[in-house]
Amino acid sequence: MSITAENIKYVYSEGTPFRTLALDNVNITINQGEFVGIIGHTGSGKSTLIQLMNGLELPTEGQVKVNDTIIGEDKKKLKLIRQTVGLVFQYPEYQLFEETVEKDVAFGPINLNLSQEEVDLRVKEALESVGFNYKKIKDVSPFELSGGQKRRVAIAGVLAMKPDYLILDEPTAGLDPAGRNEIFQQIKKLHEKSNVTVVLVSHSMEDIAKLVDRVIVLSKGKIHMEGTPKEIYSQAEELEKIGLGIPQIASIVKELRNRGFNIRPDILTVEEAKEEILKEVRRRNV
Amino acid sequence: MKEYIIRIENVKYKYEKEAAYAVNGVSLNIKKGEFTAIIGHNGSGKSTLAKLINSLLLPTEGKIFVKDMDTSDDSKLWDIRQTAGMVFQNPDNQLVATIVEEDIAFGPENQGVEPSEIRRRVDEALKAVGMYEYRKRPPHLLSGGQKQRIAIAGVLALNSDCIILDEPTAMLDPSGRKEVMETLKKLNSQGKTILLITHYMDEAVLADRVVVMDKGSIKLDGTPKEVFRNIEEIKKFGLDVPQVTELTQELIKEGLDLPPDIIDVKELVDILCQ
Amino acid sequence: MFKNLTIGQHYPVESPVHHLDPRVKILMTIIFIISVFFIERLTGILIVLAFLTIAITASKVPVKFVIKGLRPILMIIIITFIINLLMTPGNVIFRIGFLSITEEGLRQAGFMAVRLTLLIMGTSLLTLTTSPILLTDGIESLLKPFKKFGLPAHELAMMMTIALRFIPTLMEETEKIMKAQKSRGADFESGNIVSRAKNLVPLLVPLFISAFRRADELAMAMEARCYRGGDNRTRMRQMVIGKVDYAAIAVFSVYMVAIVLFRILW
Repeated sequence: MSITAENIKYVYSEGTPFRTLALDNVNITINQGEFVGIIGHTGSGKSTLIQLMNGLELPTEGQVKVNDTIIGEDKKKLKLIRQTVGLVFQYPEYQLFEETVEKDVAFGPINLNLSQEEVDLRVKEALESVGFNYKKIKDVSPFELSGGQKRRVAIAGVLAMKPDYLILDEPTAGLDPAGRNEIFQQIKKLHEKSNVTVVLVSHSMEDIAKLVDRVIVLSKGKIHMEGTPKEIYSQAEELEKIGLGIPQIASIVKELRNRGFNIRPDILTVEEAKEEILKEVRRRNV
Repeated sequence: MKEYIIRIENVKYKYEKEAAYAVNGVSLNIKKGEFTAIIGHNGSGKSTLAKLINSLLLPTEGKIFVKDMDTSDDSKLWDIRQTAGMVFQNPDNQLVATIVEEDIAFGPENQGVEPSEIRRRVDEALKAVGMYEYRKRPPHLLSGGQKQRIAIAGVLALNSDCIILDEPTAMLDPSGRKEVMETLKKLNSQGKTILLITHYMDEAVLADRVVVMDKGSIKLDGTPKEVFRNIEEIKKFGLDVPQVTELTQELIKEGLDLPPDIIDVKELVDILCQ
Repeated sequence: MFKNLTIGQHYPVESPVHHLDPRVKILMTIIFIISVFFIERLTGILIVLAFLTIAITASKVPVKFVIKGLRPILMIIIITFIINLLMTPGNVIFRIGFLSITEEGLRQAGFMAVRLTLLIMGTSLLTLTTSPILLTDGIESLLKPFKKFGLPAHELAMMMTIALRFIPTLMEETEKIMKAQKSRGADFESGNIVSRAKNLVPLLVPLFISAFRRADELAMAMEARCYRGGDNRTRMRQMVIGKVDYAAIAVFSVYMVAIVLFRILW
């Protein structure tokens, strides 16, 4: 079971002076149970890519398969695909529209024609999984909530559809550090507990390195690098070259290595950096 | 001693009668030419403070002076807004015109400036933010970082001495954030007073002075080095500290002899490689 | 879905037509529209076509672009054609049941369709060659004399500018919200009119909320930039009537004389 994109090409504004090749010969496989990060700066094609994964856009060339169903082959299956592949857009709070949190989260499940009991159950589960007290929150108007709370309600709205794959586009954009951590923690818990496949899209290595198993780096519509966070981290210069910010730890490690420090290149956390630096300093002082 | 361009004297503000104070007893003086970063998590009162300085809100208690003009003095309103120009968070919702240069002209046009002088100011402002080649473009086709630079140019064209930016990079990608920060550093070096409101610590370390706000009041105030060495405290306010500072302090705990206030990668690398 | 929208879109190239004073262009367009309804014969159509050809050539806008502007109006043209075709009394040449097509109807319908086509082409040439900002400047300046009668010329122009500025932003947002709701299983494409209208709620509510939020923020940003209405406001761009304008007025006068002469003489 997986999402596979084979030789994808995506062109928009074909036939106008604004013709753009957003994706060029992209091949990707997302396996069930994985936690994948896609990074790339604005215009790298990452937004287009995720929209191809749930059939909001269809590729100009190539095909995308979700669990063996080719997207776009049968229009009737689109609804099923969108339920299988849940997509949380950037700033999802702007899509809230119902009078109460409960009703808004129920929108997806109701569209799936589920029974009332099932809808209620899913709404409750979804809201609890993003850290809300269901009883307290359900009758509140979503427009009375804070920015971070609205965002969690919006994420719950997608979770309530029980997707096998959950794709989140910059879920922490615009939030402060505390809000960011909270969302990431909840996504992590979700992945561990329900074994949902998660694809996290971001333009910062820093945020996703600690969470994901595998990173796909997009640049100018192509896959530029792919590997474990450690593998990608150790190529800090390459990331900088394509205009992606690298975490401070990565630049410390890079600078130290350039100056002859004998430490591993694939360091992710402050803790690891501390251990490695101490080892080297002690070795030198002996 | 340099003169103070902004003086905030024990200001309190609440949005509604029953609500809690969003700004609760803040006193702060900003020197001319200073680059100050105000950091705090969402709801710490930092954005409210910015609007108070620009006279978009009036203090419930206390006084704010911009270049000795009282922000609650109606007759000084336009002079205050001209002196302390404001850039907002959402780049889309502050550009008025359909062409970049027309948008920058909007401010001076409102002030009734002579057409030839407006032209001069617009060109100068566009060059100052490095957007001169884009002057004929429609704003909606620009990137977020470029839009924010246009918004900054709009303030420059007002001939403001001080630029207040309310989380200008919150909605930008890393390259957009870099563009904006570089522009601000450059303008500051040319003498503009900058008041940057943000929750990114990597932006705050570039300032001369960092003010940390929490629950409507000022908790820490000093140079970036003085402020960021208080790792535990800053984390308590829901903010990040530079990883390099954290790493340095971890290394000190293990017995290495390092200064506790390192905020710059190069500084740490230099000391370690000695 | 909005990618094919060209009507009202500015086509930025350098050309004499682009350089014309917007006020001159607007007035010429208005008179042009009247002239299109003034013609009665094939020769008239030929004159209009000749003039349009000259104008489009001089504007350096590809003909394809001008014709593309017709696409959204095509339905209206077709409906007008059919109504005229079926509703004009006269010599019946064809009949199906209670519907009859007359010779006059055919002529009338053909003329109306051609007129509408020419009219749209003429006005899209105006919008293609004039940036929205110049267009509003022109309108503001032309309306200024009516300020005495209480017409808020500046406010109208400011409203237009802001509308033009935010149309692309809101369209982008519409598309985004639509996609987001589709991802939640919303269906905007099937069902009868009532259910379709109901299905639009998840799109329209967020869109309105966002528009209000934007308006609120924009108002604050405008205030912060010292905006206080139209009084004592200056403009960076000064409109002056120059050589190109006189030349255009000359060409246009020749066209108008030709139209009037043909109408009277033939």
